[in-house]
Parts: sequence; C-alpha cells; structure tokens
Amino acid sequence: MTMDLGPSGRKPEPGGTLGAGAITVCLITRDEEDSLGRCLTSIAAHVDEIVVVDTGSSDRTVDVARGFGARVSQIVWESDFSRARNTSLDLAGGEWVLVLDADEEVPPETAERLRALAGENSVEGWTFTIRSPVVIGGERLTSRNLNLRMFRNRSCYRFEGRVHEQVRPSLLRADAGADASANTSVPDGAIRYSGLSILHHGYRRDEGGVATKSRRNADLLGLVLAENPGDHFSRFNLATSLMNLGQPAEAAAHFRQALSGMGDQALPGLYRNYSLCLQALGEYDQAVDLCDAGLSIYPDYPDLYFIKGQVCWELGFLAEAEAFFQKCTHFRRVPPEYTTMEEVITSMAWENLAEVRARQGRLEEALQALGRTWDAVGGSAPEVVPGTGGAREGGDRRMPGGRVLARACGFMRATGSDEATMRRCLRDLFGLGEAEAGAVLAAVSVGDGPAAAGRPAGVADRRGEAPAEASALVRAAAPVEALARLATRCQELGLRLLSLEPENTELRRLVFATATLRAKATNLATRRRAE
Amino acid sequence: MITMRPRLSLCVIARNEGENIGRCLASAAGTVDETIVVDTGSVDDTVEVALAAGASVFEHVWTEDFSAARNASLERASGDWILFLDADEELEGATRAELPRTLEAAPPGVEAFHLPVVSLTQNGPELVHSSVRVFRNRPEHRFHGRIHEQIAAAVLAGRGVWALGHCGARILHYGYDARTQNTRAKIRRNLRILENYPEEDRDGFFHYNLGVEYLRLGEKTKALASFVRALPLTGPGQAFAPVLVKRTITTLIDLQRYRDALEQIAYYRTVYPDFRDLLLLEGICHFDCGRFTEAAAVLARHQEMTDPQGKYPKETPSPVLAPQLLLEKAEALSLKRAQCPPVSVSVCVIGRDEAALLGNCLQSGAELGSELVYVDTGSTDRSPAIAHQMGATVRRFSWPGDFGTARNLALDQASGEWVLFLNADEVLSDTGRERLAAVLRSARGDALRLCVQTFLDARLSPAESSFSASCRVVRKGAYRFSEALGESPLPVAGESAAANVVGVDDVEVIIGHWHSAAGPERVAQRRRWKSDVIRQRISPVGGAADFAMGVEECIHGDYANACVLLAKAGAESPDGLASRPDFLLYYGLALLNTGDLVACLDLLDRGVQVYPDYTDLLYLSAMAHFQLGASERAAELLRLCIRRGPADWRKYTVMAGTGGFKALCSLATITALKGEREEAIGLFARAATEPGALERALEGLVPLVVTSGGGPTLTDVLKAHGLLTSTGLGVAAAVMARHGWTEESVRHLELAVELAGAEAGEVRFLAGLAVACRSLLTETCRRLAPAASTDPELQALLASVSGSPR
Repeated sequence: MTMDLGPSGRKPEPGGTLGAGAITVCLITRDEEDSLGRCLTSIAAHVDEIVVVDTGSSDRTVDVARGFGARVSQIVWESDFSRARNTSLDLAGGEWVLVLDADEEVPPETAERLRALAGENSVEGWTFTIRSPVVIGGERLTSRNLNLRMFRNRSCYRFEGRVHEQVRPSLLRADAGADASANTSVPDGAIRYSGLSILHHGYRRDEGGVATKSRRNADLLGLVLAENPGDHFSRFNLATSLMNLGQPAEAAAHFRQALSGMGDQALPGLYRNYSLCLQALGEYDQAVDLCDAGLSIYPDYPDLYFIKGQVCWELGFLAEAEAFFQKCTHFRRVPPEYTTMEEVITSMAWENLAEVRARQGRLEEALQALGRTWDAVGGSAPEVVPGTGGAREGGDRRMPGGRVLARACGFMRATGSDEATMRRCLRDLFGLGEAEAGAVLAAVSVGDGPAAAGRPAGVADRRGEAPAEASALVRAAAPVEALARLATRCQELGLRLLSLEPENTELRRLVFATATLRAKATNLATRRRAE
Repeated sequence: MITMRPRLSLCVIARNEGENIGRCLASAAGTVDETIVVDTGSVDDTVEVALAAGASVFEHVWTEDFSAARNASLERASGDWILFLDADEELEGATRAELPRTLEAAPPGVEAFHLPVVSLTQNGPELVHSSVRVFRNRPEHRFHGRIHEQIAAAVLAGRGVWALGHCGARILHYGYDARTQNTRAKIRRNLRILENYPEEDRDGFFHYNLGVEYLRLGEKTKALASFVRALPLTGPGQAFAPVLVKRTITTLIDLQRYRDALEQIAYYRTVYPDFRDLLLLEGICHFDCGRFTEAAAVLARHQEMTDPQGKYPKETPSPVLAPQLLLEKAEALSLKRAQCPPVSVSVCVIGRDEAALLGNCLQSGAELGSELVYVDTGSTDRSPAIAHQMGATVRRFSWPGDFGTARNLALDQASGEWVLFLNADEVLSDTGRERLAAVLRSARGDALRLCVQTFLDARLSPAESSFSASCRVVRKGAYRFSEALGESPLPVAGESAAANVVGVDDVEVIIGHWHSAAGPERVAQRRRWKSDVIRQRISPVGGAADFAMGVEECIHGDYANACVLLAKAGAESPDGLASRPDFLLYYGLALLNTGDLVACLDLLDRGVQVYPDYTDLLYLSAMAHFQLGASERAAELLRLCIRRGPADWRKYTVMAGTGGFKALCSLATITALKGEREEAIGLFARAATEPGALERALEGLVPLVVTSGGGPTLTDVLKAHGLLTSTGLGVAAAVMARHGWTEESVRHLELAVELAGAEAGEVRFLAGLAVACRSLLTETCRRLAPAASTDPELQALLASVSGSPR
C-alpha cells in the first residue's frame, strides 16, 4: 500500500488498508433480519468490504450479515447512534466508506456508479438523495431528502449526535482546519452531490412502528437538548418527531425556538415542517408569513408554494390557492438539497388544482386536472375493479388512482353529464377501455356526494362536520362544534365581504381570524370525539 | 425581386419562468425571425416550454450577473437587430406590427429604438415608461451592470441621441401580479447583488437601484439616503435621471418632508421645465399641507400640460386620489383669493408632543392664514419638524407654565391683523374654514368665539361629543390672555383677556377637538399637564381651582372625586360660581353618577329655574327622576327636552343628543317599560336617524322587536324607517350577538353582506360589518366561558378569540 496524502496533501493518514479506491459499506443493526438481506444483496457485489456493528439483536441479524461475509462486531447499545456508527468506521478498511441503514436498498444504477465516485480525486464526501416511499391518508407518496453517505475513510471524519447523527460537520471542520494550518485553499465542492439515490423502506412499516421510532427519537433528542439546549438542529428534529406523534402544539414551540436560534441559517426543511405544523394548528397568518420568509431565501422550494396553496384553500382564497398549486405543476425537479414530497409537483398539485377548480364551479377544467393527476399517479385501468368507488380505494395498492376516477365521475355527474359523455371522458381523458369505463360507472353510480364535497390532498375538510349521533361524548363536544360551525359561517361572510372589497385589509384579517377559530375548534372537537 | 428585410432576433433570459415564458415567446412568434432563450438554472418547465415554442435554448451558469446572462444570449443571436424581453413581458398584439415596419424604415444612423413598456396591475394597465429594447446586432453592443443591466450607453457611445429612435410597438409587463410573485425573494436577490458591487462601479445608477430596493422593503429613510447619494452622481441627460428625481421627491412626500420636497421640485423644474409629474407632486405637497388654493392652481396647470412623447416615465406618483379628483377636491376646499379676508390672518397652532395629530391640525388651518405659526411648548417628539415641513414658522419655548401664557407667546409671534388659535389636537372643519373666511371679511368686533366640539371617544363618534364656545379669534394687539386655562371650555369671562372685551361675536364655526384620538397615553399625559397648571397657576382661594379640577375629573369619568371638589368649590365661592351653568352641569352629572340623586335633583331644580333653556339640565333631571322611580315625571321632562331641542352652545356647554337622540332613546326605554312597544319602537327609530346615534338607538330597538313574537320583523321595522342598510343590519347583528341570539345575529349579518353587495361603494361600510362579525364571535365565546370553567382546553380556545391580533 502506498502512502496517500490525499488530493491536497492535507490529510495526514490514509484510512484504508484495502488499497486505493476500495469501498467499505458500514451498517449498524438491531433486529433487522427481515430487511438486512435485501440491503446487502443490493450492494454486496459493488463494495470491497462489509462492516456490520450490531447493537444487540435478538434475531438472526448477525447470521444474515455473516452470510454475506461481513465483518461483524457486537457492541452494547448505549443510546447513542454516533457511537455505534463510529465503531463501524473504526473497523472499515476501504479508502471510502459508504454508510447505509439496514432498511435501505441501493438501486442498481446507484450501485454501479460507486466505483466512479470513489475515483474522483477532488472529492471528500458524496451526498445522495434518500427516497422513502410513504403512505399518507391512503396515498402512496415518496418523501425525499439529501444525506452525506459516502466519504473518505479518515480518522477525523466521525459522526456526531446521539440521534440524527451527522458526519458532515467533521468533514467541514477538517477542511477548515487544513485550510488554516497548511495554508492551502479548500477546493470548492469537496462535498458534492452524486446525483444518485438510495431507497429507504423504513416508513413503509406499520404506523405503530413509525410512532415507536418517533417516540424513541424524541426521547433521545430530549436527552441531547437537556445537555445542550442551544443545539438547534436537534431541536428541529425533536419538533419534527413531535409533529409525527400528533403533538403539533408542542412541536410548534420547539420549531419557533429552533428558527430563532438558526436565524438566517435556518434549514429549508425547518420552514417546510414548521409551516406545516402551523397549518395543522390553524395558525394561518403565521404559516403564510413563514412560507414567505422561507421563499425569500429558497424561492425554488415547491413544498412552500404547496403549503401556501393549502393554507389559501383553508382560508377560502381559491384564486390564490389555484395560483400556488399551478406554480407547483410547473416544477420539473426539486433541487436536491430540499426535503420534499416528490408528488407536490405532480399528482398532489394536480389533484388539488382539480378540487380548487371544482369548488369554483369550473368542473370542466377540474376534470382536465384530474386527467393530469391520473397520469401522474400512473393510473392503470385494469386494476380499477368496481368496488365502492369511494375515496378509500386510493390506498389500495391494486388501484392507484381509484379515487381519482371516483372524483372524476362525481364532477361529471355534477355538471349533468349523461352516461355516454362520462363513458367518453373516461376513455379519452383516463385511457380506460370500454369495459373498464362501464365498471367504473357502475361502481360510482350509487351515492358519492356532489363535487363540492371534495378536498385537496393533505387538507382536512373542516366544513359542516355536524355530529349526527347524540352520544354523551358528542354532547360534551357540542359547544366546540357549535363554535366551529359559527366560525365557518363567519368565514363565509368574511369571504363574501372580501369579494366586494378585495383590497380591504380589515376584511382579510377577518377571514384569517375566523378560519383560525374554525380550525382550532374543529381540531378540539375531533380530538374529543376520538377520545 | 427579393427585398432585403432586416432579420430580428428575440433574446430572453429566464429562470423558473414556466408560467410566463410561453406567453412571451408566443407574442413575438410572427414578428421575430429567431428566438434565443438563455436559461440560468431553472428547475421548472421553462426549457421545455421554450423549446416547444421553437426557441433555441442555451444553458448559462448563473453568476449573479444579469449582464453576463444577457450578453450570453446576444452571442447566440444571428439577426440584424436584437429585441430583448423579460419572460414576464409580451409584445402587445395590437401594436406589434409596428416593429418590423420601423426596422425596415430605419435610417442607417439609427442604432436603437426605445419602446413603451406598460405594466399590467390589478387595476389595469399603468406605469408607462420607455425603454431601449431594440438595437443593431453588433459585437460592441453589450450590456453593462450586474443588475438593472443597461444597453443604452453602449449603443449610444460616441454617437449621441440621434442614434436612438422611437418605436410604437408596446411591451406589456405582467410582473406586478403579486399573487404568486415572490417579491421578497427578488428584493433579497437584488440586494445581495448590489451589496457585492465593486466599489468603483457604484455610480448614480447603482445608488438609485439600491434606493428602489429599500423602497420595496418599506425602508423609506434608507431609500432616501440612497437617492440623495445618487443625485449628484447622475447627469440630467441620463435616462433614469427623471425617475430618480421623481422617486426622491415622492419619498420625501411619504416621509412628510414637504418643504424639502418643494425645494427639490423648484430646482428640478428648472432642469426639466416640461416634466409634467413635477407639477402633480407640487400639487400634492400643497394639498397635504392644506394650501388648497395653491394646490388647485398647480394641479390645473398640471392638467393643461402635456408630456413630451416618451421623454419622461409616465408612472403616476401614487397620490391617494387620481390627479383629476385631487384637483376637484382642492378646488372645492380652496378659499379663492377673492373669498379670502382682505385682512391678514395668522393661524397659530400651539402644541407639545402631538406628532400624531399635528399634521391634521395644520392642514385644516393653513388655507385660511396668510401666515402659519407653530408654537411648540417643549416637545420631545417630531412635532417641530412636522410643522416646519408643512410650511409653518416654528417657535420653540420651554413650557411657560400655563395655557394663557402660551397663547400670549403665540400672539407675540403673529404678524397678521387677526389671529386664529388652534391646539395641535384640534381640526378646523372644512365648512367652518369657509364661514370664518366670510365672517372675517366684514368683521367689526374685536374677537370671535367659535364652537369647539370635543370628541370624547377615540372613534370620533359625534354621539359622544360635547359642544362649547371658545374665544379663538382675536384682533392682534388688542388682547392678551390672562387666564391659566386659556383653552378649557370655561365660561366666557375666563376665556379671553380683558374683562372689558367689546365686540365679541359668536360664529358657528366648528373646531373638532380630538380628545382621545392619539391614545390613552396622550390623554393621561395631557391630564397631568393640565392638573399641574391648575395646581400651580390658579389661586386656591375662591373655589376656582377646585372647580377647574372638578371639571377635569368629570371629563375623565372620576365622578366621586369630582363631587368632592365641586362641592368644595360651590361652598367656597363668594362670587356666585355655584350658580353658573357649567357648575350646574358638571356637578349635576357627578351627583347623578355617584347616585346622590336627591342632592342632584335639588341642584338641578334650582338650575332649571335660572336657565330654563338649558336642555342638558332638564335631561340630567329626567335621568335622576327615572332612577328614583318617577318614570312619569322623567318622561315628561324628556318630552320637554325633545321639544326644546339642543341648548345653545353660545351660552352653555352642550352634550350631544340631550335635545335629540339621547332624550328619544331614554323616553323610548320608559315607554317600553310601560308596555307600549309600538310607540317605543317608533321613538328608537326616530333617534336612529340622527348622526352617530344608530348604535345607541338599535341597542334599544332590536331587543324590543326580537322579543315581540309575532309583530313585524326587524327588517320590516328597519325598512319602514329607512334604516335597512348593510350598516343598520350590521349594528343590529352586533346587538343580537351581545344578547346571545347567535343564530339571529348570523342571519342578519348574512343579510347585511347580501345588501352590501348591492350598495354603492360610498354608502357601504364593510369594515363595520367585519367588526360586527368579530364581535359576534367574541360575544359567543364570552357566553360560553362560564360553561368552560372546568375545561382548560376550551378556555384556551375561547381566550384565543378575544385576544387574536389579526
């Protein structure tokens, strides 16, 4: 092995013992026998070494790892992800380290490019897009973020943070240190985007699993913050975990603190998650302000436009909502550094556009937008088996877009289209065959409310949720629900007044205030009914 | 035969313009021979839209330099001429044929053309300016400036203005639709580029652009500083110079620096004698300062003048009113020189820390005066600066200790034959100004007493006001003020200097006194000052100080204190203070409000004997009788009040409504208690038609109608009395909300909104409906609150409603 001083001669020791260009994949595991095989199968042929640090599995995880020829080390779990990760780095013999989770999978096109990445002399670390399929409200979506996963094996590159462990700070520090001591300039792009993705299956677990993970993360982050209250990054992650746990009010307090702590350096994802949180709380004025603040720094972040669209929908500002969803549909890609839901620029934007147009009575255009939604979700006709035609079908794997078709039929029925027209539309706009169109029509011929009952994806419909049954619980919720209904009517009044004087800020404020009250009352009522 | 038609290349630079660029390229499709689009890193469908429109698309890495991007597009162009547009612009369909026509006819010496640019706003097309957008494709013609890149200098270099022609094809600009426009992001980007500008490139244009960005951020002072730096670095011939001048002046006006603005206008009128907007700005300055005659003259000249085609930007300098309406208003308010008194009038304003209200005061008085004097008695706020900028001569004194001395100081400063005094928290009414001018033309007396209407609430509601006479106009030289409370609504004798004043006339000129408009802190501050004056400057002997203090307590609602002080004053008074009408009014009011009804009636009965025409005493007496259970007697007195009508402000301090709506409402209440519902409703309705009385009247009327069961509906009643307007319904809905009739309230609000849709703009008052709507929610929450005492979550929800800031 030759002594390699690295590209700029600033790193004193080479990490690897396996030779130039060698790649070690490092994992930490615990009870991952179900997924570890999938992960290692996807990567084994493309790396020179597999290191698995197990933190106390009670299942066959270690056997699976050994089956792939991994160097396995078993350590005691000390509630510290960085410590475990760094143990795995200590064992790595390659010149490069690739860090994965057991519930991840490396797609072939990524795996095949790893050697080329390792050959880039000027790069110290590579970032990857982590794509996570999720199911939200029966919809199959893909959330996406950026993570530094491959870097040169140097002893100064180590993870930090008990949870949401990060290696990037140590890379940046090493660069800065070299800069000062060796008086050489840090090459631009020492950390670069690979343009490649890694698939993460973790959110596919049942909801209970996700909640457990959020709970565990929140607890760990609580410990981290107790030690270091000024750790804004951890606070942001804690807030996000609390949101996932259905505690938006608590989350908002931490988001606020993280935002004021980070100031101008606030992460794009903080703007996104915090404004989503404020939207959930009904704090619409703050949500809009926050989106605007975020967009003034990150003007090409579609999620913020999407959230503004949702908030405008809830406020009843339909023209504005339409403009924002429309804006989303123009995006062709989202800059990789942003945390995003990939569908906000495709199916979600189109579907919301359809609902906004429908609410304005423009059903023809709404139908066109549904056609685009259908294309975006890859709706395929044969799977659309007549069922109830209801909204829940969207969650069924076999029927992507089932709900889209149901909505389309609803729109058409509301315009008074006859059977033949509907059939033609299903054929032309949605590409259904004759038989399938007939099946869809049969499925939706009963029930299915008018078009106006719809709502954009990700937006809870809070209008007119009157309780039908008179149980004791419902009675307890009655004043809250009455308040919600009253607020709804006042919001309608505000909107009608605003249509008379669109520039009147007093009226605009009224709409914000009433919408917020409606949301808060409805949130409370919903919680009461659930209890 | 082939004619050599000049070829035209369209060059566009774009980033994330997917919504716009299609419209832009399509508008030029038949007019240009090739389209070059340089994309600087879009993540949206800009590139695919451009390709679909037939453009040649090139990628250019963004280096925070607009000129570099523009020049990259020029490198690719092969036409004889270049047209450049922004992605959010288009060529106007109706005029675009002008472009090839102009180019074909272009004489050899002409290198470039400027085109009119029209911005489309929500209110339609506006903001016309001219911009060099077409030029010959030569390698030396390249853009300069990282931001707000310019081509004109390069095109005209070494040639002169004759190389520049005008083309009638218009460009429409859509950039001002703020709905999805990410304005803040653009400002941020622009500021970033500007802040990184190399020092040597920071010329006049740079500072101008920096100022514009500050303006867009609302930072007017910073903007002004940048404009002021730009001015000396900018030659009058530079294309942006007139805009810079205009922006500088409008910013000065926005900062209420009228005197500075006028100075700039005067100078730049010599540089740009044909620049029409300068006249409009001058008119606005005079109008805002209350010099309506001058404003009208200047605005009339503005209307007559025409701008030389294309020389100046046509952007309106954002007056509140359109120029024509502003002129009409100025003419209506103007006291034409012919109407002005042949004598000179000094308008003297006295004030201390009244920056919030002083502007209104000066504006209301300036037109009348040949001279405007502001006497400052020790402000720590911007008051002196405001007065100076509004054209007043400013004289600063430390607080002289009392109000009379302050007036005398002011009197010394005045040079006019007549002097009108205003306090900084007062406003001379428009009609009053006109009448005063007429009176002064032929006045024979030496002093005039005017009517001061004190608005007790911050909303300036006439229903909560009182009227009293105050000596405000004197002939210079004859009088001095000797009384410490020179401005308090005190009896005539104390009001003006000499006890032997002759020829004091009363004129019905109303001065509005905005007692609470500047907020509770100011009210408390003034109260402290006034108490100090009373304690230090009025002799404690003879009850005068106690009386003055008692009146103050009454005005601020401290009736118990007032009773003690006034009782003392009455007992100490050897000179019949206790039989003066003001004493009777305030003491009666204090006794009534502290529940000392027998003493109250005793006092008032005596008063009514002496002053049978003082309606207010009758009214107070009726209130006392009613509280004692003597409803019939009360009703009788109230009927007398109504018959008498309001007392004469020349003789008495008069509370609004005692001879009108207040008496009617009280009588209606008594009538309703007797069960005579119909009659009561009629009385309330009669009251409701008086100015400012709607709320009070409906407060009584609505419950009567709602609880009647059967009878006519509220809308019937309102209609019958001409009260069925959105405002009437809104007020009614608010009353219902307070009574807890939530459903009725919403229904009437819905009706009100429906009606508002049909009403004309000036009649309807939508903000009032918004207030009613909010009060419905807060009232509902208030009513739910007791039930929520064991429910913290609901409590928090209810609390958030009453406290919601937005």
